[in-house]
Formats: sequence, C-alpha cells, structure tokens
Amino acid sequence: MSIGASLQSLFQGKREKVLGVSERLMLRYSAKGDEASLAALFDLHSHKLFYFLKVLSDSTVAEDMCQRTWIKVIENRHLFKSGDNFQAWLFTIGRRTLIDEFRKNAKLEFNNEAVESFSLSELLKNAQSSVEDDVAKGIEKDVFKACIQQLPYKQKEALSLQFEGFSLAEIATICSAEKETIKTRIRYAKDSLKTMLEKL
Amino acid sequence: MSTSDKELQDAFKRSQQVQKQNDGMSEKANARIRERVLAYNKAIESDSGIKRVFAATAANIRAYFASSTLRFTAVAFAIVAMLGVYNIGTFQRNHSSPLQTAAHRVDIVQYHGFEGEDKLLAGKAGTDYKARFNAYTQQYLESNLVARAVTLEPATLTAQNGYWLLVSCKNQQVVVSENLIASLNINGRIEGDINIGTHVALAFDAQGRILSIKQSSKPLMC
Repeated sequence: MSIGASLQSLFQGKREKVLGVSERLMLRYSAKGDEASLAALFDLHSHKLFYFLKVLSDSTVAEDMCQRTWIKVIENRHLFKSGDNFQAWLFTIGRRTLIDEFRKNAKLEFNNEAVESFSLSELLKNAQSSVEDDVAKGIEKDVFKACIQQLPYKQKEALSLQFEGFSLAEIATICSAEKETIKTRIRYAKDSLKTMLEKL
Repeated sequence: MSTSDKELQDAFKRSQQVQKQNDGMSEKANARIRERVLAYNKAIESDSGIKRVFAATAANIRAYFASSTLRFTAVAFAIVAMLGVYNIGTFQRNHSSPLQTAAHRVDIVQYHGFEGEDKLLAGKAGTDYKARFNAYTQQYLESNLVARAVTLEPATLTAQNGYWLLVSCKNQQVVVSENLIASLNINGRIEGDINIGTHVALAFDAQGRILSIKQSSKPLMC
C-alpha cells in the first residue's frame, strides 16, 4: 500500500470515528439501499419520531405522518450527506410533512405563536380533562403529556425537540427559525409547563 | 440546565415510557409502519434493479449496433418484417369467414366484460360476484380517468341472450357480457327502452371501454 493510500485510509478512518452509528447506517443505506440498514435506522428512531409527531397531533395523524416521513427518507436518501445529523434530518422531514398535512387540511394550529392564546385556567381545565380521560380508560395517567399538549404549537415543537436532545442550533435549523426565537419559545414553554404541573 | 429543567427532562422521558406502556396501539402502529416502509424499500430496490438490467442491456445493444454494417442490416430486417406483418394481416382479412347478419357483414368481434369473470362465476354460486362487479363499475365510472367519452358509435342491438350483441356501422360485432350490462344498468349507464333492432349510441373511453349505451333517436347512419 502506498503512503498516499495509507494516509487516505487513516483520514477516512478518523472521519468514520466522528460519525455516529445512525449516520454511518444512513450513509451505507444511501449507497446500497439495503434493508438491514434501513430496519436498524427505523428501530433506532421511529419511536421518538412517532412520539414527537403524536405530541403535535394525534395517534392517527402521527401514524400516517411517520410512514410518509420514512417513505421520504427512502426516496431522498441520496440527499443525505456525510456530516449531516441523521436524527435532525429525519425530524426536519417529519416536521415538514406534518405541516404540509395541516396546511392541506387548513388546520392552522402550527401558526399559533401567541403565548396567551388560552388563559392558564383554560389550559389547566383541558389538561385535567385529558388526565381524567386516561383514568376513565383505566390506563396510567400521564400528567406531563396532558400539560405539554396544551402548549401553543411552536412552543411544544421546540420544547419536544430539546427534550429529544437537539441543540438550540439544530432546533433552529429543523424549525427554520432564529436561535433567539427558539430560545424564547422554549423559555415560555417551560414556564407554562412548570406552572401547569405545579397546579395539577 | 437547572434542576427543575432536569426534572422536566425526566418527566418527558417518563411520559414517553408511559405512552409506550399505555398505548398498545402505538406499538402496533409502529410495527405496521415498519412493515410497510421495508416493503416499499424492497419494491423500490427491485424496480431500480430491473432498470439497471435494462440500462445495461440497452448499452450493450447500442454498442452492438454502433457499426454501420449492422445498422444497415437492422434497417433491411425492419423493412422485411413490416412487409411480412402487412401480408399476414391481408391474408387474415381475406380468408376469415365473416358472420352474416340481416344488415351487416361482420369482420371484427369485440368482447366487453369483466376480466376473469368466468372464473369468478364458476367459483361463486351466490350473488357476491355481482356486488363486486357493481362496485368495480361504479368505482371505474367515478374515477378521474373517465372524464368523458372520447368516441361515440352508432350500433344496432341484434341479439339479447343474457349478453347483448350489437353491430356497428364499421361491421364490428360488439358483445357485452351479462354482468357488464347489469352493472351499467345499476349505474344508470343504459338509457331508453332497448330491444332487438333498437338503434343505440355506444360511448367509449380512451381505452375503448364502454361507458354507456343510449337509445338513439336517429336511425343508424352508415
């Protein structure tokens, strides 16, 4: 092996070490289209994507959007580049797919930026009702979900993404918004959430 | 991240777990999506595999026909083949035994019915197949493909023996199956009091499928 080739493989090796498991799987899938890589990616990320979409919509819409998102991953796999964060890429596709669906059905919840769109008492009442629904169904009550679902769309979107482990910069990219705007959304979201959780 | 933020983060993770336990539907939904996504990937891959084979074959053929001698041979072969097809057509036309009816000499027979209905009828004693045929016709007629009829042809009903036998001006013998007649009837696609000898207007779509059969006020003008 020549010195040049050795250096190249060394650099490539270093570059691969920087890449996460998902990114390597996605690059392999992008090159080969193999089912094993796609299945592994699905198992690693689908549950989180489904939960994210469910918080922003409901179970039925989330299922449909989740499937469409993965179909887009398959169809646009050549657009994934080395250095991209796979989960951020996946959630960006998922978020856009959901917004397209809302636009198509003329649902404007995602535009709801207003912090004071509902009074705290109204939010609490809605959350309380959601918790009572859980109890009535005989399932474990989920106060946190009941509260986060009461937040304005863009706030719960930003907060959910932060809880998923994305950085501010990544959330800003996913949501096509300024970092400062995201920061504000998250701050408001957390304040409202804490208040609701304390009161319930 | 302050402690309270950490608590929120933990609450989020707990909520995800609770959802997983509570919502058996989510797990089922996820399994369904997984199955469909992998099937889609398989289909895409096999499709692109076929395309690759075709591309390789086309490239080989292009390379093969690159020489001028072979190109000349190919053109000559194509001319001979065309003449051959024309002769075969003429032969069939001259030697076929056309059916004679009272008014028309019939050369061509068209059959209109549901694909595979013979097998369905053989297998089903009940009326289940009828519901399926009707649903099919309705779906087909309502589909965007059927925006309007592209051709209208005058014809005369010459036999009504379950199926309908219609003879057009172009000496076409059009046989419409019993089930298609029933389905068209249910969907309001047969208009007027049509009996043997009645002049009708046949409406066809772009694929040559019958859209409607209407009683024609004008006599057959050939």
